[in-house]
Amino acid sequence: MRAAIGRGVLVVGLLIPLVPLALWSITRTWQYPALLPQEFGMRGFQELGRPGSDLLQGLTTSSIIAVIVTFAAAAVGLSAGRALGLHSFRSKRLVQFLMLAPVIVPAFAVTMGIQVLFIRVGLADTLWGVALVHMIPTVPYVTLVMGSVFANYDIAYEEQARVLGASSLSIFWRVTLPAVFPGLAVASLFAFVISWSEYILTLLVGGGAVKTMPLLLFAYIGGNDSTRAAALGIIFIIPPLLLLALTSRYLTGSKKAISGLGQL
Amino acid sequence: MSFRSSSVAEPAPYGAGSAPGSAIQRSARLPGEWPDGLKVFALLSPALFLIVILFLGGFAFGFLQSLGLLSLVGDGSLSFSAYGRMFEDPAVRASLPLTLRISIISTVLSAILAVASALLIRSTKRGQKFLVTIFQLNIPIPHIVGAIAMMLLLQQSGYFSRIAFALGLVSSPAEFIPLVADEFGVGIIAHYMWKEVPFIGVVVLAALQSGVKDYEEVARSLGASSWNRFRFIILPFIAPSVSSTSIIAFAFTFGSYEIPFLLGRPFPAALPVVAVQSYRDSDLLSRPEAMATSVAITIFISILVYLYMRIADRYTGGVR
Amino acid sequence: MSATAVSLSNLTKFYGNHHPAVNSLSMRIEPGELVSLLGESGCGKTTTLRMIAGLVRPNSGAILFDDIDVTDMSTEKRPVGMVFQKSLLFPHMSIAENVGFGLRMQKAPQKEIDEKVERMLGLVQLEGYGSRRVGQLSGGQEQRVSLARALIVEPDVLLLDEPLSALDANLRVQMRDLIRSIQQQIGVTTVFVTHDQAEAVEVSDRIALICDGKIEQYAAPEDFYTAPDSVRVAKFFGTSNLLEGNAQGGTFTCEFGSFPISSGHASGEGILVIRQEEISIVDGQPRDPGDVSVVVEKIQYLGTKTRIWVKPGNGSGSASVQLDASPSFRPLAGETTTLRFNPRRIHILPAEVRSEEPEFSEESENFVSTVKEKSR
Repeated sequence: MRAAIGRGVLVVGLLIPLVPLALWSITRTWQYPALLPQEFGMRGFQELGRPGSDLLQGLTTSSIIAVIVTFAAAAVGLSAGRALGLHSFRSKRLVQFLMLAPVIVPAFAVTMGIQVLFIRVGLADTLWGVALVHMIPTVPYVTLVMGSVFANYDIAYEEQARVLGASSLSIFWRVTLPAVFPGLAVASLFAFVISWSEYILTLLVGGGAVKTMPLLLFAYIGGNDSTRAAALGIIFIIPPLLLLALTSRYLTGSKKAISGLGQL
Repeated sequence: MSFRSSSVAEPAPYGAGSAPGSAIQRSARLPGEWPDGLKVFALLSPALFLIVILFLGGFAFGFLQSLGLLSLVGDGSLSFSAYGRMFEDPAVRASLPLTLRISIISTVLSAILAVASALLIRSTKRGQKFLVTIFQLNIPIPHIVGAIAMMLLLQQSGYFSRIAFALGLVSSPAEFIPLVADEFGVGIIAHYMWKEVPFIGVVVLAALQSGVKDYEEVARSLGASSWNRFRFIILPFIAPSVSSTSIIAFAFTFGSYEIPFLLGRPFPAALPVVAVQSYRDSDLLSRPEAMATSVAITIFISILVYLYMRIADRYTGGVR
Repeated sequence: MSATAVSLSNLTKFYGNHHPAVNSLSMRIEPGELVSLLGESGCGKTTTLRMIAGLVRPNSGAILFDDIDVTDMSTEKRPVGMVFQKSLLFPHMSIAENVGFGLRMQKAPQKEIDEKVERMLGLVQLEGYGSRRVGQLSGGQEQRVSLARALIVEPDVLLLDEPLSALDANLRVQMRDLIRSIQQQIGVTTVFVTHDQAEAVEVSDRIALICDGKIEQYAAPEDFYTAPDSVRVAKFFGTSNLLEGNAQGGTFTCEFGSFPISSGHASGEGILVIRQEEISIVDGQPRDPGDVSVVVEKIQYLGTKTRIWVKPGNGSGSASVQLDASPSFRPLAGETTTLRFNPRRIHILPAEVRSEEPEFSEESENFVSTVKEKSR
């Protein structure tokens, strides 16, 4: 009985913040103290249909950056994770600490530092500069997860393939990648979500010129237009949720990947 | 030895100078195959390159700037005065207790609730998939959207207030206690908990589903009640997962800018907010102080994590 | 302290809508007995054990310890001790803490716990190991600790779920003897689940052979060799000499000839069972009742013995009999020789509907069951 109440509380607690968010996004008028909007409307979402709108521009920019970052972080993290998971070497602990540090240390702190460098090199205010700086918080997560995946990986499969005459590229594509795919999917999900949601790094390096969705959202939060902000918020959630749906079987199926996070 | 996954078969240590024909050879080197040391280096180099340049470099530059060097204005001479100014700054002094309070409370409460939730979910037979799904649902929701949702929920004209009105507890928005932009930071804590409980919970759930049940059966046959099973079997089993994710959560909440900015007050503000405000101040002379603040934040968190890793290592005897 | 009797009464357990894992199983275990639940994987022996433990709730039926109905009692409250296939020693505790765990749960004073732990470790021949950590022990040592941990709480019933299956062969034999001697020393009623027939035979007072959730035969070990209750039992224990024929008066007639049986035996169709160990080769022509003339069909030299398959002397018929002979006896196929079926060991079963089973040899039976075990 107590368990049922507990479950109820859990469900309510998890879902209730989404209720006003969803309702506000389809509101035309909603005065205090009504529990439901007096008038519904799709004003918030109409922006989506307007070509050249801030919203579409923001979505595009965010998507491009997030995709670049996800693939790059996946590649970098995959190889680093393999090194950490499969091999033993001196100073491994140091490398682990280094890999881990950006997960722990707030990225804005170091970004503030390198801005000078970015300006010098001409990366400031550019999309590529933003993508590059997004690598800081994402690569460690991917490395951590892949490190755990590779620790449980049996290299005998690769040896077998090599004996059968496969080239290194072939081995990677046909043996390694499929084997680590669940963990890689989970890690990529994290990378995508981190980049997709990143605000302060984009602001610092992009200088306001690179307009991603978080910057847009931030602007609307300050204002009085709850409908617009809520609608933007809902639109913003959709891609990560879609990705979660696609990878959810890996999230629970691949316990090893998740428990990588529990192995600090 | 603890419940950490120590069943990993580590290949024999090679090191950079593995003598050919050494007694422990896992696999003979095939023609064209690189030596192990080179392999490791090649695999690690992109990540290391990024980390060293962007992360360490960024920190180094920030540190140098905090000392007055590398600045765009000012005389560029070495000085620790930025740190002195930082400690004296009323914004910083007010910020520290607030930031610590928020991080500690939200992390501790989240860890407790996450463990309770994970246990609850594990014991659910029908509807477990549903619970797991909504549990996972929150994880990819970006913090900014969460902040919007929290505002719409908790502000004085928000949804909770309206429910309170319907229940006759308040008769106007002003009567509803301020939960966002309040002194204590309730809204901020609520938001962090809403995000951290699923994050910690998913990892704990994964740990719970990887073999504890067998040990619990043994404990049951020895007469252990559910509380005792939790205390002596489950808790040690999930301790690494809980502490690991909690440290990550603490570090995140301590160093997060967006949430305290959106859901908190301008004064006192959380430390990262103070740092970024200083940084973006048009008065470039305050740059070194901004850098000093962020260096301080970085060092604090680093020491914390280092201590954690030392304690964790000692507890597990270095077995990973 | 007197031992406890265990009664299982019509225990049934369903998983899903398939046929039941345990099907109305009833048996009584006498106080102080060691009974083995023997069978292939999936036959329901482990499920039965777990029901006795309380880890699985039966769909119907009852479990009694002496006169007390424990069917609805939770495992924590049931006076049982368990040892599993994996030692499951708590990794974050020392050996002493592991062994003393049950007493700690009973809130026994620390001094008492320490004393009993020392005693228990001595019983399993691990004196002084108390302060060691779990990772420092070998597989066999871990199982001994596991046993000590289960026994220290003085359970009414000791339950062992294939405790030796994960150990290698030599160790298994040593551990088997240790478990048996400790069990007899303490006198605790014990249920031992295994798929290894030799193990069950060596260790048990009685064996319950379980197939498809039901007890096929529940008897002392020798009965399974001298008087199996069915073809299935006979085959499980490695007899493939099953001859269809007819019982009349004091004789059983089959393709191999006529054999003397007890005069009180019912008339009608039946199956003659004779183990290969009970067939010997005699010189010359058939003399005594039970001697038959046979033709050698196939031989297989096995180092320690010669395995011989023979057909009836007149060369016709499909029946075949297998025996083991001394390795120096190497007849050729087609040779005629005389066999003696030990009359005291001829056992007649009632006729059964025989299913279309291919004739496996003993080795391939073992191979098949080994493969089944490994892929479990």
